[in-house]
Amino acid sequence: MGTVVSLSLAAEATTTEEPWGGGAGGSGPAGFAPDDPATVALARAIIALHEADRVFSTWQPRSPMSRLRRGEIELSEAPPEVAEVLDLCRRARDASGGWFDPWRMPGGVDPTGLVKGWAAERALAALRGSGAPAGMVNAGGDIAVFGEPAPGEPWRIGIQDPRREDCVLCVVEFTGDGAVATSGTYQRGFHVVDPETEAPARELIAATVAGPSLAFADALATGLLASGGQALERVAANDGYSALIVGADGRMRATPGFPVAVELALAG
Amino acid sequence: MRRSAIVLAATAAGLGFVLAYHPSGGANAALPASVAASSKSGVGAGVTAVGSDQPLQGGLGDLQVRVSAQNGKITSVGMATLNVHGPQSAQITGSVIPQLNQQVVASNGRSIHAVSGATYTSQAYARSLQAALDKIATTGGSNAALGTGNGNGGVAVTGGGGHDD
Repeated sequence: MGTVVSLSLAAEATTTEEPWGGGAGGSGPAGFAPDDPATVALARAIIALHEADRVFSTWQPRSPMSRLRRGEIELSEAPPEVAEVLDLCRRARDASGGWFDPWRMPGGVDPTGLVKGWAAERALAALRGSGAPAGMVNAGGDIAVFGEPAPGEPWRIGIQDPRREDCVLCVVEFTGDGAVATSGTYQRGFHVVDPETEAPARELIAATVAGPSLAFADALATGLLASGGQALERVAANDGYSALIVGADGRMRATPGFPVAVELALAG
Repeated sequence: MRRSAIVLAATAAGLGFVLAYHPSGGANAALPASVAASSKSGVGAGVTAVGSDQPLQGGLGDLQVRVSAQNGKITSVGMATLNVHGPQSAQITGSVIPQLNQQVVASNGRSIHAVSGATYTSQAYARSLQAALDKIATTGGSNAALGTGNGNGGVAVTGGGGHDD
């Protein structure tokens, strides 16, 4: 178990005539450039991800988030990022028309639907700090990017087909910064709960939200899935955000701003 | 302009992680030297090894880092495996990487950089298209993307060992 995070960092390649080290066959001596900005940035990104997990994991009973849920600590006693995330959760709840609601989860307030995207954004900020021209974080299918992967080229992100793990439904493009998050019922069974009925949401098998913030896109995708599609217009009403939903019957709907570049398998 | 893409995969939420990144691009036609560095004393030492100025506490596990350097600069960290002290660890192997669907490669003949989907677990990741992308990136694919096919010789870093030029 565990969310797999893929980090990608574009850097200007150094053009070299000589292999490093100057030793026989270029075999490097022990020791390497510890100040390499890309390496430092990647290390910082990894630290940011682990730190987010340490604070917010609801699977670890001793995490600050778990202790807050049990009422063992007050919000003021938790690390400051807990309050920051819960504030974002409140805003995402409003932005989803109430469909994303961490306060109506079983077991107490649970910001998990937003934290993965938030943590990925923190990791992306670390990559950005390297001065690299472009970078990407893909946290279990929730993706944030900055820059251009190659000069003049957009980021191209495939949207997983929820019914076939080796297929994508379409390709979206981002020029410069952006984020895209997908929630689905297909990986863990029905895991998103409709806050109205407290029953699993079943009308949709996947919801994808694109927009400027991955934390928000992640939360909105979760809420959109929980709504069974009812929140589609509300989600798309947020400035800069757009969405794609896939119904249990395979039918798809996208809001007008959804940045589809290539349609591959538009069903229904 | 040439760029090297660095790709790395790590599991964060489950605190198991496997990472690999590599450079690609024409500049890498000159194969880098490699140097292996390993730490058995926990993440803190491992992160120091990859250049962070922030010590990491917590005893998550052993971190192995394999570094490729070119002209005195790191160009890639080949493979780092964090052996987690706990039940949750991910080992991503070639055998579970799916065959890439031809439709992806055929999407206008252009590459995709990532796949968005509800890929919650490391097991799901191992079967995912994103894993296939990362696999390509870490075994000499071009620009960490599918379908570019520009012939740049990436550096195979997952196999370990140094390169002679």
